[in-house]
Amino acid sequence: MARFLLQRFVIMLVMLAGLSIIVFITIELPPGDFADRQAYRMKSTGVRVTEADILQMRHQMGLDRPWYERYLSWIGNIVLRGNFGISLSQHIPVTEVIGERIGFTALLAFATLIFTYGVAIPIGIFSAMRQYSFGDYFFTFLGYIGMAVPSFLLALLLLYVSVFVFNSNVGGLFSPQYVEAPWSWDKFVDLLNHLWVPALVLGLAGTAFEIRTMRATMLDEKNKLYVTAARARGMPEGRLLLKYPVRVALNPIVSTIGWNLTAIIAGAPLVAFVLALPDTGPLFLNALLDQDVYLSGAMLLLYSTLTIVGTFMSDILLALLDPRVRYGERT
Amino acid sequence: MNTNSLLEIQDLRVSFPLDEGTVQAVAGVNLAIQPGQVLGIVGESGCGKTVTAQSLLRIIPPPGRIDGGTILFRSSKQSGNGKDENIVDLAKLNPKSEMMRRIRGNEIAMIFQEPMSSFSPVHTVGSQIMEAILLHQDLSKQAARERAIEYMRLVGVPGAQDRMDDYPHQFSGGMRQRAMIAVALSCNPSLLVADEPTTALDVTIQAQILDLMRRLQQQFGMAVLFITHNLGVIAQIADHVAIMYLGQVVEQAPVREILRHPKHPYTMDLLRAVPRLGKTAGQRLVAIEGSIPSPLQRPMGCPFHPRCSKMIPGVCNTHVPQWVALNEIHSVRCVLYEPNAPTPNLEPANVRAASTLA
Ligand SMILES: Nc1ncnc2c1ncn2[C@@H]1O[C@H](COP(=O)(O)OP(=O)(O)O)[C@@H](O)[C@H]1O
Ligand SMILES: [Mg+2]
Repeated sequence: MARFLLQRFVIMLVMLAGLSIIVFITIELPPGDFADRQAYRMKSTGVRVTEADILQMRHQMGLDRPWYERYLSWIGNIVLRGNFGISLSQHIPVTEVIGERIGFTALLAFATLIFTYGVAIPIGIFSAMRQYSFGDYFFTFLGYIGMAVPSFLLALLLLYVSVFVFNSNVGGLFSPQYVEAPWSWDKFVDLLNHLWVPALVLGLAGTAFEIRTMRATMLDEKNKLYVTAARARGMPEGRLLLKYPVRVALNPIVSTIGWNLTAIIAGAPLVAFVLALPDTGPLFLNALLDQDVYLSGAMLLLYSTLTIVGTFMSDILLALLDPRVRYGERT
Repeated sequence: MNTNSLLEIQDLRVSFPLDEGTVQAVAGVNLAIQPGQVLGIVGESGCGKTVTAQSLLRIIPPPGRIDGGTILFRSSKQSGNGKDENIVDLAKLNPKSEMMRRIRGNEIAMIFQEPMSSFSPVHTVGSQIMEAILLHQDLSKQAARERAIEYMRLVGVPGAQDRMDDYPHQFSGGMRQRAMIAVALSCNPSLLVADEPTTALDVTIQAQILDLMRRLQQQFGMAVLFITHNLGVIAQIADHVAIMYLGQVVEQAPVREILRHPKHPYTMDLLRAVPRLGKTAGQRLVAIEGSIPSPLQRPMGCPFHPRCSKMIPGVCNTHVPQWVALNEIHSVRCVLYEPNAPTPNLEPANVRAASTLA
């Protein structure tokens, strides 16, 4: 187990390093740079900007150094000092801009995961145990809808219904009176009351998928010989199902946590935008539009890190669940 | 029920209603096992051996169902008041009932053909042995663990204590089958059902497992229903043997009797198909002539008649042979031995049908 953990940890570090380079390249990819954009903006407000001015700006911002030098100083500052640089568009440290928001993003991702698995696992078990029952068909139908409806549409729909039918607004993460209030139990409850909406929107497709996976694996497992063998030992039916097929069916579920998390984080900015959530989503979109390389780079990096760390944790969970993974057997 | 029998199966019928039609997997099986007896069941694959075994524990996979017959079992652990025996018809029990659960693993235990898949891959072997013990005996976890280790030793798993916490994939096929035997014996059942326990193993391992089972049978004295398609194996382990064909027992007698004086034409074919009987334990059956009919279309009359060398046109293809006791120990289901056998019914239609089938 220790070897397995170490191995996975090293892989994670290598991936993070590789990723940081890719992030850096990605944010450098679009033609032009921040200096061009700044010049364009100044011109459009009537200021005269010469070539020399642009070069000057570039030099000030360090944009004229070779890419690897910029990469090394960028990543070095992040790793050694937790300094993500200055936001080019807002002229304050990136950490300050992102601040609390990244916490909300992580919370949203976490809540969505809880929602996904909390709903999918019991329904998957139910559907498998009552195959072809009304309930099974009902959840199958819901599941297909869940997979087919784009999340932003669902978000708009929920907003519409909450405003026009229930006369309340589920947008944002807090009710107005709590937005500026210090943290308290009531504020936390209020947060949970709002959180389920984006969690539902973001998690629906994944939930539908996990229900299918859970159901299929359960159906597969419950007729396996080892289940029959345990039944032949005199195991009561309910305990039998929980101890054997459910347990084994959790493996494929757990091993998808990583890419479920990826899908959630990738989908979050759009949903956050629609629902006006104070997380990093809207910030990220603007940073990309502004070519604010330090801000968008920092956020890309944080998103990827969330994903990679999530995958690492799902690997560990899987190893805890399945001895064959733990002992490195490939079957 | 006979006063001595431990188990008596009468006219058991099991079918699987499938989309393509109904498979009559067991079509009127009669069997009796005495306490401490080793009864072998032999037959080509697909003849209903496994389904018969599954019926005893009521673990027939869906959509299979028992259509009729009785499975009388002399239960000695069921009645709350001490050692009283009582007779249970397993065919009538609800498979999910408390009574059925208390019989499973406790009074009737089963070993399966595939040692590789009869243990859950994500639980330790030890925990799966302890499970049976904890289910049926009033023992603490610690005591159950010690009991499990004791049985692992008994079945010859080296380093039993350390191997308790190993997972199935760390066991070889032979070791898993030993562990399976440990599970089966752990509650001291009065009947052990072994469904081709050595078929999936290497020849040398087969011999070891057979040896072990013979030794443990003598030590524990439980009755064994030993299923195989290998007559050579039967000669080594069983007292009695029942020959099955297409869901029916066609002949039953003590092993020596069957080997020396086979009566049913199918048994004779089976014996011819085993080279140097008794010396080559691992030898598989050489297929006998003709192929087994599709289970969806049972032949009329005697199910064996399309392949039978002694087929009597007009009789075998119309008349269902009766179960005939030749003497106390030898019974057969074949028209050749029926005292009041019908005379050939040579209506043209029957003759034509017979010649196309033969
Ligand atoms: N789960 C099942 N579903 C459908 N048919 C089955 C099933 N199990 C067994 N059968 C049918 O029952 C018959 C007897 O099978 P089985 O008892 O496994 O044979 P044996 O063990 O003698 O090889 C076969 O024709 C087989 O096709
Ligand atoms: Mg079989």
